[in-house]
Amino acid sequence: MPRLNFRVVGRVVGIVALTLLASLPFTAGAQEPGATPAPSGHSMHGSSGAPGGHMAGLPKAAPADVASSEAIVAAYYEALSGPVGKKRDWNRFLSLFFPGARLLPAEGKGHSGTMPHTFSPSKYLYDTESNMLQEGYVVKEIAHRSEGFGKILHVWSTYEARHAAADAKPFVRGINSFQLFNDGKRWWIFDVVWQPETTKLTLPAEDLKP
Amino acid sequence: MKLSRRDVLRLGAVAGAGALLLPKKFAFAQSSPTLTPFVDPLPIPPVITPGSSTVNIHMTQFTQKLHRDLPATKLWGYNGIYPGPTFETRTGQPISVQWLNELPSRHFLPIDHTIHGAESTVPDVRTVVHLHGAKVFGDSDGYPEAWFTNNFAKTGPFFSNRVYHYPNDQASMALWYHDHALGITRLNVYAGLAGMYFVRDHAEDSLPIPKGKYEVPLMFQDRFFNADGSLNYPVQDPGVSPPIPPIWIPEFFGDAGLVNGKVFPFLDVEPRKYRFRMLNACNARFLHLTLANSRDANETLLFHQIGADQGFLPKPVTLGDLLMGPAERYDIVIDFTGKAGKSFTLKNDAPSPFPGGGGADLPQLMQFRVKLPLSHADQPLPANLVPVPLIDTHDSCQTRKLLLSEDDDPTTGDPIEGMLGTVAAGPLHWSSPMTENPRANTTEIWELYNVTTDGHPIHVHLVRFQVLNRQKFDLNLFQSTGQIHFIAPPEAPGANERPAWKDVVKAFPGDPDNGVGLVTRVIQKFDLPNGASAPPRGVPPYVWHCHILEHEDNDMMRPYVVLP
Ligand SMILES: [Cu+2]
Repeated sequence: MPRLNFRVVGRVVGIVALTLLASLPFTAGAQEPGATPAPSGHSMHGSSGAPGGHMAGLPKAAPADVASSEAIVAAYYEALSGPVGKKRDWNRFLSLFFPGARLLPAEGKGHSGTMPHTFSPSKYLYDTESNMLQEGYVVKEIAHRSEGFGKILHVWSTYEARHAAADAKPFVRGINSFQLFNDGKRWWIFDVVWQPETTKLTLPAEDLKP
Repeated sequence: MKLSRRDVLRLGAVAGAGALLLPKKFAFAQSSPTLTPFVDPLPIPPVITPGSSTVNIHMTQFTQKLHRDLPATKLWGYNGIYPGPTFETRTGQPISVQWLNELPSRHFLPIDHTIHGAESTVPDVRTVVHLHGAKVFGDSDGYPEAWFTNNFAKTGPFFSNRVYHYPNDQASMALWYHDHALGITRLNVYAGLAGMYFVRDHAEDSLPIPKGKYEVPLMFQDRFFNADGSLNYPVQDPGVSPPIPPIWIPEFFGDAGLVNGKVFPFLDVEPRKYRFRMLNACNARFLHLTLANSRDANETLLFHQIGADQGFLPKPVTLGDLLMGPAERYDIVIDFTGKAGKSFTLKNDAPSPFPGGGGADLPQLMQFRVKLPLSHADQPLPANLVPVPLIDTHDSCQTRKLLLSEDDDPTTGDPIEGMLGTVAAGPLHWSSPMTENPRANTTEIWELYNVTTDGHPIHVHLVRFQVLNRQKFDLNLFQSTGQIHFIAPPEAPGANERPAWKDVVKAFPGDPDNGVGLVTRVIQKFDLPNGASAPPRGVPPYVWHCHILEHEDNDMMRPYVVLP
């Protein structure tokens, strides 16, 4: 069960790390002139994982982007796509996500070489945008399936990405698995987990049918 | 958990298939052969005491036994040994060294030619030596593009002189020298190119601290070995085609701990105080050290820290554990009094990478055996050591807001390169125009805004600095708008970080998953050697960089210039 072991190891080292950081001496209001005091009344910018948390700091979604599950998935691909040098639409991208949302590139190996990084939406766009600006990154959906019940919907979306829209072949294809949530007013993305094809892993035919 | 027969067969089939499919050296899920700990005595590198004439130091390839049960290992080192000889020098007595590359023309570790400065158009085996912590002019600092090959046949664009001058215009401290060639520093250091360098002064002479055979250098490193004794440096796993970059790995973590070039050695000690000059010379590994009785983990010994990177602390600081970032030096007294007959293991439980974890563990480094008879009486540690006057923050003529970030692959989320930059301009490359240009003899505050998940040990060449504090900021707001808003009061540094003279600071991450970044602030005066008001004309600039060597090699380094 190597996979399960990894999760457990990850949890344990995470706790060790937090303990280490927490054990660093902390002096509230240490009188160092080099520092700027925290502005009063400032609220975190959509960083709370608690449902119904600081929603005020999030960019407001365009109603059409969040009106249907197909629309929000399409908006996700559009917000990430662009040719070399095109600054991404940060507000549009961030407006799609529920506070505390996560992205997980399952094929990633991270700094350790063993575990993928997880990302908040803003960390994902911040850390990958320079590569997308430099190389171009145009991603689109080629197949879409979903299953839902009440407020929840799971979208199984086959994607392909090109450096330029006119490229004959994509440089990567894969599956994006979206967990969506509807609060009665709009759709939200709560997480995206994706698996690209690899040298040892090819998309099955049923995931290529539009 | 008990595996069923079907599980065993299934796992066996997978392992068998993997063994066929996988190239021999890739993947991180590898390990060294089992190496029994504490069977080799701790080696002490030979001492070299330069006089007034230039010393020649030869970089050569050789083999050396690194563990009782391991065949001899092919290494590169200074003067035919690994680690290199320890320099003993005195404050105010300059020395000159000619570093000579006598290495083969082919590297034995995997170069990634897609990395800046390591293109296939430059010679594979390039070297340039940096004396870490030295106050020197740029022509003796080992600028990464001032490299040279065997017999100086080829030289980098910033090469100017064969002989390096070290003025030793600095107080008593532990420095270390290691290779710094652009794009292959991680491989050259991994191959063995590192050694220690002590400066000593009258203040140190007069302190009643352990001396002579009771002062022991401890250089910590981690490695992977193949069964034939050769060094194993992993390459990128080509799981997604094409991996970017194809060979480079984000951080190296080995499962074999070496101290002074031996795997898991032991040191026999007397029941008294010893002074250990500890250096974390690992490529990427943070060390969180404790010292516990080898048979009873509840009996621990304390670390009495008397000095940091750039010299003595004002008073000893007593600690139960040490968190050492790569390239940090800790001057530590351990008291074995009353412990005759017992053994103590130096243990490490820092996650790798720090603090996220997931890499190879290294639970122990070495063992101390209190089995020698007491031959010299001991003295209590002095209450006061050497004053460390705090730099007045009002002396700072400029605060620079600097950025520690990384560039990730959109498909895998994996790092393509580390980046330094400024908060205003964003991430910048090694090749971007210089943005840091302090004037000689002026003081500046540098704020290191870490927006990554990693702790980065940040090193500034030339100077010694003092850590001011750390503070959390709203990371999501910064990432989406570039604005900085602090969300907590500043946090005071550790007791062994301030007051102290440092040249590496641990720039911890905040909690990026939850939208928290962390800034680390240091203050430093850009003094040149011997009070010079300007660097000599035409010498190379200095650099500041992350001392995780994989990061440093892959763009997490920036040149900076000291202006007259
Ligand atoms: Cu780093």
